[in-house]
Amino acid sequence: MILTNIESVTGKQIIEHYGLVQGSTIRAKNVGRDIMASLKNIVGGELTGYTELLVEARQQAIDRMVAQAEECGANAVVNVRFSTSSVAQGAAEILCYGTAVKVR
Amino acid sequence: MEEYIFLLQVGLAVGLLALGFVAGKIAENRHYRSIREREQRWLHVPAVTWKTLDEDRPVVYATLAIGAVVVSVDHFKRFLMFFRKIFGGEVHSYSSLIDRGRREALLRMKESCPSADLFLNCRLETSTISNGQGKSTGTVEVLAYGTAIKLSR
Amino acid sequence: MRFVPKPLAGTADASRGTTSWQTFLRNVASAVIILGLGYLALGALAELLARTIPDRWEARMFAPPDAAVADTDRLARANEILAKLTSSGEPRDLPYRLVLVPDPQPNAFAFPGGAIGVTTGLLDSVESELGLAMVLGHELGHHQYRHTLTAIGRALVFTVARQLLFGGGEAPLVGASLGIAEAGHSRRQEREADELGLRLVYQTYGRTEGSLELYEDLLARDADDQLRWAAFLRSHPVTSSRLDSLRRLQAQLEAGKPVAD
Repeated sequence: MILTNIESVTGKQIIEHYGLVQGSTIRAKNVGRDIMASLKNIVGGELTGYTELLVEARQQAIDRMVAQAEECGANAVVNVRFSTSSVAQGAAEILCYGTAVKVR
Repeated sequence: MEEYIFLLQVGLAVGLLALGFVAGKIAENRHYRSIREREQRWLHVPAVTWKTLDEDRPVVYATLAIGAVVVSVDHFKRFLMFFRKIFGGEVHSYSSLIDRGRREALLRMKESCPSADLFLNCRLETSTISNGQGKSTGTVEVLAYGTAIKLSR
Repeated sequence: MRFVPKPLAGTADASRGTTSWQTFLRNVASAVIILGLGYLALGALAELLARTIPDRWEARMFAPPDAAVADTDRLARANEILAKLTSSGEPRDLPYRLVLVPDPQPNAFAFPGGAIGVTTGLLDSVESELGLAMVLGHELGHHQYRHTLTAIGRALVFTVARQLLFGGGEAPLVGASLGIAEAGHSRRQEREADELGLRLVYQTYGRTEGSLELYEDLLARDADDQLRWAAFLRSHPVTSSRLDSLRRLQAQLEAGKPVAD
């Protein structure tokens, strides 16, 4: 499954499109990461615990979007966009959406 | 005497949780049925995320279409969230809330322009509603917007 | 390009996140087990910390409450009894002193630091020397096992743990279940204090008849109020059951059998 965030797949032509496909997931941090993050707030720098958490979440959202595209029979998803938002205290939603197409 | 008050408090908490679970499940299933039925109806009108219009027919009108919805989570799901926060990982109870919100917002966007042929450059935004003290209420607003295009026959 | 509408069957709900009831039950069970173990571990930790505080520190950290009335006449008899009980050498080396609390209800308290509070109601209702000695012995039991310090330590540890785990909101039922668990712990402490009190009385006076005066009084007074089904919510064991255990211990002591520690 090819993913792009431009309107086409470079070098190929879109012959069919199937509309919007989307995937999202909501993840909560755990207590251990929370405590490490509070300590990191004193020192500053990258919160690797949280980075890992959100990277995994984003991958899951992408996988769900790709699953929808595969069911349509698509072989690429173009113009992919991401959105991250905080849904509840300590939990973040990652949304991933794009248009499923068949390219040749 | 204090035992009665204590048991009353516990009973109330359990009762509210049970009510939240039952009523929440019913409301959720009903909403999903409605979503699935309307998605079938609107299947023939595409919503895409790109901007280019690859059509020979002239455009009659192009207008902004917006669909917005605010969904809330029930008491039982909020209770589950507390325990999920200890161990981390995906919060399954909230996933359905967001999924419903998003699909509902997209449907409302399509329904806001019933005569459109397609929707270009669709975008989705999610934001939390809080009660002003930084506390989460489990209420989420989802916004879906795009450009509705009507092509002549 | 042309548009081909495709109805999504399974993956339409890909982001819905449903869990089977088996997974749900597994999650609930593991949460209960882990939280239960955490509770026991934190409780043990708090008690361990309480035990490491030396007697002198405890005496210095805590001063008796200001509600004390310096009515040394009324306390004279009680002070004599206290002196007899603490002379046996078993109680810890704390500066034990009595303070009088004006309250018509018969009650006694152990304050960290070695102070023992007795209400005016207690001095009025308990007449026999051994009855009063039993009450003072019970409070000495609380001091002996450091129940006062442990209670403070546990409260502190659990408050911090709750803030860390559930901080920022209040999960229902957490406070209630913690309350029930702590009530159970408190009942165990009361039984330990009862046992030590009776043993001290026996060691000091060589006999124990009449020492259960206050307990029998309380039982007679609240006979109707003994809701046995709600016993798990109380901080003290039901009076009748305390009396049963104490009478059994009394029989053992009088028969001269060595009592297991």
